Amino acid sequence: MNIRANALLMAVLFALVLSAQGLAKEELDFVYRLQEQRIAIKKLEVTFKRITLECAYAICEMALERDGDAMTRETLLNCLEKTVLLLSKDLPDQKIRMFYSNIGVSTSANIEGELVIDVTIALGLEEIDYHVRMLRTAAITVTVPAC
Amino acid sequence: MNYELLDFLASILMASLLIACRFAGSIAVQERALQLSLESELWSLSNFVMCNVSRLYEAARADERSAKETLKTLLEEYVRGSDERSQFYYELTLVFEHRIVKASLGRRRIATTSTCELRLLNGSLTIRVVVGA
Repeated sequence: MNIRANALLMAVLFALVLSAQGLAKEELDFVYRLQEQRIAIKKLEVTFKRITLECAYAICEMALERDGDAMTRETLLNCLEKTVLLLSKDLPDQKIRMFYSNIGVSTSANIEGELVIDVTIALGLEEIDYHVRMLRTAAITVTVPAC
Repeated sequence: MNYELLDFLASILMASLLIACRFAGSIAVQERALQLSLESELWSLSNFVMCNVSRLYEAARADERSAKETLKTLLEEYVRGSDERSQFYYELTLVFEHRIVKASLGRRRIATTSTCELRLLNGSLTIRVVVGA
């Protein structure tokens, strides 16, 4: 009888410890999930900066190759999409997709006769695994020296 | 059969099982927490690098020594940003025009690392970021 009671007590204790551990694990998982979401936001930040930098670089190259005035909104949007595609191929494991993109451009000349291209890029990026979304805008100014 | 001995052995077994469960659980938790902190640090440092990419580009174009110095300064600035950062190992590698420059900060006693590669300017500049603990 005594042995049975002991065994029963031990089993109850074991079950209690296991369920407490299960609860603690659930709580920990929740904390980890939050931390993973924060990491996903950081990844999006880095990706956004990379895309805008790549776009600025591509626009600079385009402006130097040909007359900056010939850059229409379509060519720039095309450039932005190509850049994003290039980067998404480069980052296959990061599961980032673009859900919104817009580009605005205005050209003017400064008093030194240089061509000044002002570009505004708006991007919406999403981390697929954690459904974290980010919508950001960046303004870039490219100055093309006068010939 | 000696039931008391059997009872005693069962108690010992159960207690060992509980301790083993607790121990295995805490090891797994520690490992996951470490991996997450490394990932978090990796992307914070990458973000910091992206904010200072023009400095890196200028330094890379100048010469190897100034590129190394800039990488080192950048890492020091980053580590100064938070007290917790001193416990990690950081490494930045810059690849520009077939030139590889590397700088690191922190004690190298690596159990685990997290790495990412930032290919920039149409692939002409690559920055490899490593965080270890």
